[in-house]
Amino acid sequence: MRKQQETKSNSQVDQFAEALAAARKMQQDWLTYGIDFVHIYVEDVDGDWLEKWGNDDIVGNCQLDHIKEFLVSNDEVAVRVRQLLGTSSLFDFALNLEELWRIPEAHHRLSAVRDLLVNEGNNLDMGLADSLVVKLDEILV
Amino acid sequence: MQAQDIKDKLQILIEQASSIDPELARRLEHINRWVKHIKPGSLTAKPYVVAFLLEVITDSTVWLAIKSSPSIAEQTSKFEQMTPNERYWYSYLFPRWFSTVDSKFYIWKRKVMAGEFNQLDGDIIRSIAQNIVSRKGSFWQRYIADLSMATDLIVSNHQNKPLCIQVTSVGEEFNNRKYQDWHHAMQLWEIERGLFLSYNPQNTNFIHQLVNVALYNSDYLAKGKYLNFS
Repeated sequence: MRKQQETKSNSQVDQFAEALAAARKMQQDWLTYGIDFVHIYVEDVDGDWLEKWGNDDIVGNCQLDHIKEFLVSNDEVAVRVRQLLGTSSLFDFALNLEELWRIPEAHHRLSAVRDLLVNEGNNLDMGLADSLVVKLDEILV
Repeated sequence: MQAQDIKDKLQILIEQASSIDPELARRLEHINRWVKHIKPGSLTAKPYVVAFLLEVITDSTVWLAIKSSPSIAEQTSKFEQMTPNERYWYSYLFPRWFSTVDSKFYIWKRKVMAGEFNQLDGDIIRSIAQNIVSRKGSFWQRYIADLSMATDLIVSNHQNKPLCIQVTSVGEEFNNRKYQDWHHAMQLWEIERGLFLSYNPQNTNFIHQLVNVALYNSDYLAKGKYLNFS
């Protein structure tokens, strides 16, 4: 039993040593080659992998659909959000909101929505973040 | 490896992290979705996205190896095997980053797409790092620190005390704004000591001089101080 535990512990030490060595090597490669170091690790950096990363769960993402529907609606809060965004992408904003909605703690969610809105416009009425959170709470049950 | 293997690696880490450290799992899931939504504006963006992902995978692997230790004593012993810069990163800044709602994370995408990882800046940061190493100091460079924590390098010298530095050109527009943002980031992440360094690119010896200031302050700057050196 003790031997088993020791073996397990040794393998954890090995995993750690290996992981730390990998981090150090990567940093050394950056030091030598700059951003080109990525080509040592990945063969097709300039390929179309980013485009193919997978849209599988964007299609049919109900939450995102609900958020988009709300943002283009005539709801007073949605209108104010659109005014704030100006020419910024409404779709990107919806994606960010959908992302934020995964934060489990309500107060963290609110402060993240505030940050998001602050990043979008200079004349932010703080009440807008609260109103938006209330609306999204109603929509995204 | 092929670039698409990065996604598989990320998925494996998400599964591992979900039982060992759910907060890390959540951040990795976020990154997975975030990458999906990146629309690269220029070809130059892709290497930086790869570099960022490789870094996240490497650091998460290190973190999970530490967190899966059976006892606190073993965790401590792993931290003791690190250099002071690595220890500061893995024991404090990295876990703090993935367990905090990072408001800047939502503007990362824009920055990455706009190519705000500037190759020129990157080369200067690298020259500084090379100079530090040639003078027996040590450094740690992280894209996460750059994007979220206004930190180009973590530097330490004889006293083994990590110092977060940000480097900027004196002629740069909005320099004062950059300084304010830097100061705010230092406070927000409760970084122990920070140095904001301005350089004049016309000065041929500026790398050596910047490193003098960085190494000296890594040894002597007091705790809780954020110094603007220009």
